[in-house]
Amino acid sequence: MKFFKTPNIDFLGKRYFAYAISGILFVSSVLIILIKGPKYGIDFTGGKIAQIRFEKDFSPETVRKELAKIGMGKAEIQKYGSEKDYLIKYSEKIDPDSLIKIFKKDLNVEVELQRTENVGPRVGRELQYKAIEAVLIGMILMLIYIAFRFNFKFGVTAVLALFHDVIITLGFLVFLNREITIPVIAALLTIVGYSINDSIIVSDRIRENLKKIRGSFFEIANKSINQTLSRTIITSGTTLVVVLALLFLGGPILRDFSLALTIGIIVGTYSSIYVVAALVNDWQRKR
Amino acid sequence: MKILRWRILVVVLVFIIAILFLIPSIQYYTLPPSSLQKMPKEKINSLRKRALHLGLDLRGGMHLLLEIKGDGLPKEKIRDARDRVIEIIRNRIDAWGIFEPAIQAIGDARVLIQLPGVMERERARELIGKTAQLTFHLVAEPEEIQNVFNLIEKKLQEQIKDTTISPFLSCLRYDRGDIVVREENFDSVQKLLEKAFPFIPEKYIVLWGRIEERGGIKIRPIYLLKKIPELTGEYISDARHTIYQGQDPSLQGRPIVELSFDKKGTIIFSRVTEQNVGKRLAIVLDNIVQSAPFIRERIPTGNAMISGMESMEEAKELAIVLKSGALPAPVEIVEERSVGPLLGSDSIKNGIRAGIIGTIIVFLFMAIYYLFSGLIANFALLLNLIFLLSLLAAFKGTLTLPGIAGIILTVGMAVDANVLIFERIREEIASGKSIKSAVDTGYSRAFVTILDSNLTTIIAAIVLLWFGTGPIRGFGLTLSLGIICSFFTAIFVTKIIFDYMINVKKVKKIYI
Repeated sequence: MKFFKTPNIDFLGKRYFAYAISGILFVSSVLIILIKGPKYGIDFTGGKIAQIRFEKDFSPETVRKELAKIGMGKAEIQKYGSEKDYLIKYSEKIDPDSLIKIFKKDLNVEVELQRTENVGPRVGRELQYKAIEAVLIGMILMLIYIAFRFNFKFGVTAVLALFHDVIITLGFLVFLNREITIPVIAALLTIVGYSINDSIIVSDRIRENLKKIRGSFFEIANKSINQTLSRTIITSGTTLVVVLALLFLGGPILRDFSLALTIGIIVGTYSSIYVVAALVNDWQRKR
Repeated sequence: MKILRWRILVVVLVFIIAILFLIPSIQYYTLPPSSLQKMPKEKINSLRKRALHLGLDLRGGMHLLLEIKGDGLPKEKIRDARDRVIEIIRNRIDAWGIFEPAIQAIGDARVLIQLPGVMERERARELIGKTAQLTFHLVAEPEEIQNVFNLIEKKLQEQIKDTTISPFLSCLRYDRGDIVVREENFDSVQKLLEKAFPFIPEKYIVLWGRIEERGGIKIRPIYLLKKIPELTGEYISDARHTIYQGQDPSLQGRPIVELSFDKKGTIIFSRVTEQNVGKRLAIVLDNIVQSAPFIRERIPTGNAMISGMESMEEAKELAIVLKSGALPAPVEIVEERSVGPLLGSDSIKNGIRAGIIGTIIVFLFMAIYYLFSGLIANFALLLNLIFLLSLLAAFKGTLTLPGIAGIILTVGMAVDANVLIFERIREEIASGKSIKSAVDTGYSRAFVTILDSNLTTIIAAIVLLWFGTGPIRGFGLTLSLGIICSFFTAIFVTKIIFDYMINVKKVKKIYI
């Protein structure tokens, strides 16, 4: 079976269209990140989390009212999968065990404390540094790799594309009001590693073809993208399939992580097909 | 031909070794609980040790990060204190009876404690966080108390320049021989004491008692003690929790901790009690006065007792911490995470479900798109998963929920190697090459690309393994192992199958 008999899509011809899309997505992501600001999880801000499961359904309002009674009106309540499961984020000096007791008494219901987290403010700050450090070191290693692996123009373009992918993924997460947690940072780092792959495959093929075939860079780039297209789509496709399985079936704990991967894989695949070679082409012509 | 045989042998050997490493895990995780209970304890433990290690997020339990409060101490001192803390806490946890706790130093001043299966968070925090500094101080004589407290009052009045109001003494009450403060006044009195601290004569120390309910009112006793302790917890040789059966009716049936002093402690205790008959001896634990009984007579036996525990559990805990010794410095719990066992097994279920569905779709796709070759790729993928799990078991890696996600992601990413190879072979066949040379060039050309394309993902995964904390390291671990395994399974193993078909079976056409 084959998706494309002999694909001959003029990717580079549509590059201005792609630039426009990328530009809009990138700029709006930057704006969203700057204006709305990422919502950080307690890993980074410090604070407490109690994940609870009621025996039967309760509306978020009921839960909120109960919490307000004990002076926890400021707590953040999040439905976690169903109306039985809730995630309560707070910073008051109250132990989750006493929360449970109050729910049990007031609502006359069995409540199970499923998960608790309590991160001190100092540890939160350290985890922030650690996350930034990990992302920076990841980026630097990628840069070193790219410097070895690509020629200058491809290298710079690949880095730009990488930046584009990560910022847009982050922008989407902020837009969707998702929390930035350690797993999300891990997902971003994975995207950094993954999205560069497709660019490598395409650029390798372009280099190979430049030696073999005669023609303009534009034609050869287009041909190379087409030649590698089914591989790009299949690999991204299988990866996307498993990530989507994680997103929908993997349970609420992994949801933000899987969502970040899903967006990242889509954006990364798009940019390595439509943006990287196109940018190199335009750079080449300017000279 | 000969080489092919060797290659097959290598794969079979690796496979057998992998299965051997996995057998304990399969045994341990598939045995029904009833037959597990019947097995002798050592056998279960040895099985459990060799089986795949599940992270706290999957098996449930508690994770605590302690920080040693050694303000101003030099680094080496803090490090020494940290090591001592680890030793003492290990003793405490062992005495509590937790299976396979993990206690390790993190940096200079921190200790990470992982307690699988523990959900009694309050208890664990107490047991681990308690300094357990036990000291015995003589309570100051009534006239001394009066003098010092009057002095405190006077100094406080001078500070506010108003002698008509009584800031301190008005908060104090006499109750059954103790000076007590109502709980609602506790914070304000505490603040006053901090202000008055420089004026308290150096030989004394003011300490609070435990919060109590007397006549329906919550109160705390306040004590003036001789600063230098007569005796400390160092001399304790044994501590046991039990039920009080002595003569004091108010303690009858209450949980207590009985202490035995060692030889030196017994001598000191005997001397102190002899010289101070009629006075009160305060038993102070972590700067809180537990009780301050009157010394009725000399106690030569070297036995003492601590009362005032709410429950037998609390008494047991106190006995454990006293026996294990005091922490060399106070510690603070700076991070605490806990996962209930039900959530853990839910997570496993969700992870496995997502994994199976994802894998089935990928398998179906490969089989439909690449036909027979797709089946070979699927076989390689299956082998990859077996090797991955067996490596985890062999190197005692911990499988966490993000780790499961890493395995699932591996399924999606590892087929990339075969996709690259197969696409290349298709192209070579299309360009008119024979099957044999198409396969050979396909593999050799694709190899570099595969290496290239997976390397960046491995780099990212290793960075995560290096810098990540807790469960997320499990993700870096499984993802990097999975991709590394795919080099063996997706390239080496599948090539053997193709070579076998082409060279031995003399197949003229392969479905790809």
